[in-house]
Amino acid sequence: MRNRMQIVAWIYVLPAFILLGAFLVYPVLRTVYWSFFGRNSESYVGLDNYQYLFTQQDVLIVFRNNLLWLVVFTGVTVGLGLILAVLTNLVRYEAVAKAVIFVPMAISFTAAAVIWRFMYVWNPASFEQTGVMNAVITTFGAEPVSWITNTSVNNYALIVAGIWMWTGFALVVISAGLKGISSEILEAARVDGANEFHIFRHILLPMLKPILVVVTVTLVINSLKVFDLVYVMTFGNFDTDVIANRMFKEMFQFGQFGRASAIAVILLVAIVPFMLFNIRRFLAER
Amino acid sequence: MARVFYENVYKRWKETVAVKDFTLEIADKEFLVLVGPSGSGKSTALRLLAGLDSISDGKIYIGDRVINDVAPKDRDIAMVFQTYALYPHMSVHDNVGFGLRLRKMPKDQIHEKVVQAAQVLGIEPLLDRKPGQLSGGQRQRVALARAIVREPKVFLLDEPLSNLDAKLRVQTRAEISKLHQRLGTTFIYVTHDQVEAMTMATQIAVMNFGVIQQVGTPQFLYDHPTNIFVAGFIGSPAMNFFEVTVTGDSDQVCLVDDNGLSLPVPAKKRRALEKYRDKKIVFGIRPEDIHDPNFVPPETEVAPFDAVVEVTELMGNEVFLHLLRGETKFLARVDPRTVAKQGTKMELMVGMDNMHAFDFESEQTIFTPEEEEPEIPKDLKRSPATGVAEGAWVTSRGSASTERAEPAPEEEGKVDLDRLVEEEPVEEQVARRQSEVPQGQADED
Ligand SMILES: Nc1ncnc2c1ncn2[C@@H]1O[C@H](COP(=O)(O)OP(=O)(O)OP(=O)(O)O)[C@@H](O)[C@H]1O
Ligand SMILES: [Mg+2]
Repeated sequence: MRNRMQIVAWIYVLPAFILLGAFLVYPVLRTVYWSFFGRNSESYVGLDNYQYLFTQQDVLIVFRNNLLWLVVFTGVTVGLGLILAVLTNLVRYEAVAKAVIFVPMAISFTAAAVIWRFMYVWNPASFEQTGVMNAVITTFGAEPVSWITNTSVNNYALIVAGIWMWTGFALVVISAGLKGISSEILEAARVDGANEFHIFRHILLPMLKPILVVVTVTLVINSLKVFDLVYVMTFGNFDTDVIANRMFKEMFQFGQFGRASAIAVILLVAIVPFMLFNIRRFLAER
Repeated sequence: MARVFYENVYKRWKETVAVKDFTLEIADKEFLVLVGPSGSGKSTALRLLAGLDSISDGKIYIGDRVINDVAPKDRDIAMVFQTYALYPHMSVHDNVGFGLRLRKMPKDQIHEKVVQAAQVLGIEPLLDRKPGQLSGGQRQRVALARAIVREPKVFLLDEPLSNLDAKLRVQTRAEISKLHQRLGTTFIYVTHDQVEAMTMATQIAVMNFGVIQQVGTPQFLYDHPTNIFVAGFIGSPAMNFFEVTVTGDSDQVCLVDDNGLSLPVPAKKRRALEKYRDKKIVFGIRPEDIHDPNFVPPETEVAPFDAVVEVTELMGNEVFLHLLRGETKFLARVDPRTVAKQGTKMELMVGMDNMHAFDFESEQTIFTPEEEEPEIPKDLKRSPATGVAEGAWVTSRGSASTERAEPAPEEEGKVDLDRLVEEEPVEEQVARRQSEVPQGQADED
């Protein structure tokens, strides 16, 4: 009886497995295979592609940029989402406040990138500043900054755009978690002698931990895969390139199939641990 | 030391007035039970004291300090919530010690106190568990331990037993009473269960629609309910009410109704009824004051009447008779030896000494305690504990009484009503109860 049930179950999941195999597993394996071949996938080159990627100065900058994204983008987005979730929970027009912060999520990423490009527009100091950022800082007497090309700020400028887009996501998910904490627990803590900071530190934060982990992992994966913002705003120029964009370039600009495949594999390997972590958590929660 | 005083307190939500002109003084060491039906504003009254809701109007004092604008954390109170509200991410140990940790007490000292509190409540073996790994009863104990460990001035408990099963509820009730005596701190306890109120309280405040209806000791509220609401709410099964007309002259006053009822009123109750002659009133009688003619307790002034027996419920130590007179249904709680056949008419005796009468319009009581003779022989049959919960009540007070071995200062078997009306020191109340309880039980058995 049990056996039959199992067989039936397998039959039902079989189509899904076949589809996954054809469109996911096979391409992945194929990509790994190609990453050991040259530019036209004809000559076997061993680990040459990887060696090239890990020694080339501009590719190392790509890795550095992704690391920057991972730390700054994820950190600030989660932190901001958490703070805003706690604060919007206290204000009167909670729904409106949250909707406003969530709106960027609803905008196409390409459109958002275009918006931010306009925000970062630079004009020479003697001209009127048409970019919002420069208009603001010049009213305070500062020199206009070339946000997009100045290599000491441009990565952060892109990351800020990413944060703007993703904070709404973090906010909404963390808010949902916050709603799940019964108000009686907070009241009990208040009666126990806790002030608002204690409550945040000793009650909310630990109770939100599982949610924060999920949000963090999601954002880490997103930061590793970041592409559209960079593609639209700088196309990876001025030392702002990231892994996904570099892969795109190797593939479609330089025609380096082998290297592009190797980058894809590196990206995959970087993401897999986080995926596994997420799956483990998901299973543990059941 | 920790007197609590509500002075004309109001709490308004947009349209609703949850608590209205609430004035209540709770003496130090008192066990006050706030009781009333759902939505009557009990929790709100408690939350105002805890500082979890803001006071719309009036003042609340703890000790001599007005605490209207004091943050909850600075009020020196502890609260047990209906849902226990334990911190799910902390072990039992940390739950109990959380308040102390916030007060920056050294770790080893916290541990000592936590273990002490855990011993009091018998949860020592559970200290390393998380709340999710505990049963409802155990959680409840942890919540109590968390409250007592801080040694607050006032304990607030909001329906702490309502999530427990019946047996555990009875047991925990006794434990909370014991805890109160042991700690000697002011307790304020909210419940909608009048049995809990009767069994645990030294003082009961009955609420309805946000207004205090009556405050007094359980016995006093049972004997002298001030209006129909309190009369119907305190006591289980509830008091029976009949619409009757007062007839007769000063020598002979009778309560009559359209169905041929005619009950002579005992002499001491006549005076108060004089101004109601030929008027309608509401006559109230408790189920335990309706007797089988064969088993009328001695020295009871009774009046005969008859009713149709609809249903009999055998409870073991007593019988509940569901009766019908005309359109009026009512209940009698009679001797277990009573023979009653369902569907037949039956002769019954009403113990008129314990009758209640209420104004038809205002629903207020017509008898004031002072208008009756100052010393009423204590009816041994009566005990504030009610219905099935009787045994439980005895257990709770019985076991508690062993800890307080003070001899009863009052003569046995007598209760001075005037004393009851005025404030009675807690110890004497307890002592009085101790002398009452075994009697009530002895007689019941
Ligand atoms: N936050 C609130 N906003 C608006 N009205 C409220 C709020 N809290 C309570 N009320 C109202 O105040 C009244 C009293 O509520 P409260 O919770 O004090 O009742 P309760 O006596 O504790 O009842 P229960 O026995 O059901 O717990 C109710 O009518 C309730 O609807
Ligand atoms: Mg309530």
